[in-house]
Amino acid sequence: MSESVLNNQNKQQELITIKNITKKYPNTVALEDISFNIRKGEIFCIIGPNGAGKSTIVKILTGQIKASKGEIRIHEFHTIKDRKKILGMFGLVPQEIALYNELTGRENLEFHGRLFNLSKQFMTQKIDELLTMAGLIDRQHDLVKTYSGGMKRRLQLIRALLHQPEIVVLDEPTLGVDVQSRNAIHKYILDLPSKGKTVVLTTNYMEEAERLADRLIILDTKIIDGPGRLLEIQERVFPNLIIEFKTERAMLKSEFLTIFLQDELKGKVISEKDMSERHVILQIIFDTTHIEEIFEKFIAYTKANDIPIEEFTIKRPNLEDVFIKLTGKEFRE
Amino acid sequence: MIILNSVLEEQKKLKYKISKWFRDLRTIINKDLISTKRVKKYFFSGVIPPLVMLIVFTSFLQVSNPETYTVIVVDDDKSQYSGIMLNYVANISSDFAPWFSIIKIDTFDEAMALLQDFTYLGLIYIPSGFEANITSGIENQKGIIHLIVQNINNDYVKNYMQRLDEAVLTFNEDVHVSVGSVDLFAISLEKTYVIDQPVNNAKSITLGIIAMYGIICGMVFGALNIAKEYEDSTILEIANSPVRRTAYMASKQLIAVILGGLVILIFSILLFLIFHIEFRGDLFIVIISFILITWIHSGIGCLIGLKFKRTMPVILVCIVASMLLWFFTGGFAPLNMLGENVILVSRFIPATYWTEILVAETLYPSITYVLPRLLILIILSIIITLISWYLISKEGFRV
Repeated sequence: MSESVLNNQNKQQELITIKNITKKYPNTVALEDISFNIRKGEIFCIIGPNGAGKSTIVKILTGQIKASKGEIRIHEFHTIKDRKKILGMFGLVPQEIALYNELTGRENLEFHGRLFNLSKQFMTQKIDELLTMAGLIDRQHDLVKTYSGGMKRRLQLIRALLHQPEIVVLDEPTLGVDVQSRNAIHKYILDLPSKGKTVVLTTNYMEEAERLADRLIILDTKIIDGPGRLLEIQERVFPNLIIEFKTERAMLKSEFLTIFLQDELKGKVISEKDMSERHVILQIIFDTTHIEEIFEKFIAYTKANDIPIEEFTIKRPNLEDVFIKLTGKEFRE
Repeated sequence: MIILNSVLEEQKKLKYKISKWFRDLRTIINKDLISTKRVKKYFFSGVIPPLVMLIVFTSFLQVSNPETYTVIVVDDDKSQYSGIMLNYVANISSDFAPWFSIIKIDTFDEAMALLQDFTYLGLIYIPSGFEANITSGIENQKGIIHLIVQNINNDYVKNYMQRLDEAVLTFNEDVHVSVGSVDLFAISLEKTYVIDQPVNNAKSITLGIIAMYGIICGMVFGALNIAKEYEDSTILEIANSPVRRTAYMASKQLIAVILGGLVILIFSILLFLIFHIEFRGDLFIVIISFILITWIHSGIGCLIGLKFKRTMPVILVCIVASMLLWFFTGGFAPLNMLGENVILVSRFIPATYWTEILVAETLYPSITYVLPRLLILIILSIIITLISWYLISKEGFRV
């Protein structure tokens, strides 16, 4: 296949084009020259600490506020000039719980359906389906104020899906939610691309981005890295490999550590955890991405020298490590 | 053919847009009515602060009623018969009605000026020729007494008129005038109501209070409806839907008009039963002007809601705004007592025109007095509506 054909295919896949977006407020710059594309059917994640500009991007993307500079297009539609046309394309799950507490779960969905001009028959059927999917069918006639935080988040998520949007925008959808509800929400989000939805997700939970994102950007007023796959970013930013294993304490002063791991393989001990009087867990970092080479040499040496090794794992630095390296600050600062 | 098709297509689109606009309006109103029904505290937040003011001011009015009511007497005839008549008038103030007194003024013009200064209850005028008419011996020629009052719906005025009627009857019984063998009435009483004048008495202020109560409720409901949407972040749901901002704002204002109207209806019935206010004017004009003024104030309330976005600050701001409204529309004290500056400011306050329309329609219906005020309300309601549409577009409502 020729390069131009491939380029065309990629272009066709691009659903949202964000071009040179800057947002300035009187005393602060919320976003600075942001550009990226979001492809059809992917889960695109925007991660960054509080105040990084994630919600500002969501507001500009959904046409709620105007950018000071730059533009966003969805298909060929401009988010501000063609707002009427793009409104139905979005299903927005805002960061805040934005439900009518004094209405029941079902009434909230019906209200949303009416605003989006859905037919009564379709609405009834779809609401039943979504409530069942979210596990809220038994509580559908209860006032929302009696729901738990997780239930409200789930209701908010299915509300955004009711009018069958092409793009689901989730602004920190699991903020303040218990682990069980978070897992349930993650499951729904992971299912969305298979239903033809494109997902734009903002979060400041690293593990959420690691679990859900097809591609992501790291944002801190401007794009720190990305867009790209998590692995690509990790390899580019932090081309390191960490191995972790349990061994006997005596090995700490052996040639295995000092000569083989540190001198020959250029490893560096980053953590040493006492497990018992006899055992320790070691974490050693290697300045390489060649995992097979390190692994083969390690196995060969330990077998040949009869070195006791248990619980061996190979790790990459996680997103949080990447973020710290890129920005020089903790993620939740 | 192509042109015709495109015209038909455009018509179809327009029809769809209009029907969608009204559907959205209905959807939001229904939702808000359900919410208000279920969340009592918001309903009471809209009703109780104005109610407290109502109670305070009506109590104030009760204690502020003067102990005596003075009637001006002008005797241009200065004859024996006018003297007798004045004795009857003086006797109206008796052990049974000690609150009436009279004051004699020399000229009619001076007396009218005093009457229009709201100091006196009414004016009794005996024109020159009073005695000559009584003694003329001509059947249709009677002595005429004029009673001029500002507000016939005042209980004291009514009471006084009744007593004066009795005094005239007694005079006619006591002073016999005969033509041939037929006994005739010597005098008759002509009552004149000074219309097209602002009114100062407890009843008109009570009317003003009801008027103010309704519009303040409208304002508070409008402000609370918007602030609550912001407080609960549900504004995001609506701002990101295809609902037009005009439909949204109209629904919020209509809800306030409905709730304000409901409250004012209940209180009007109560006050009618308590104060026996007789409605004399055009109910249609009153309803239209009520809708306009509540629309204006619910619009002002929406602007307050948009600015402050939280229910508590909104209630406080509405209370302060209400106090100013009371003051500048004569709720605290009659405007003419508060000086020219206050009167001037009151001309810029929509509630002034509504209060004047209501008082006029209830007491002295006059289309020439009411129509210009109604027109001002229409213009103000358009201005407020346009401002609220503009400001909501700044809040992310871009449709």
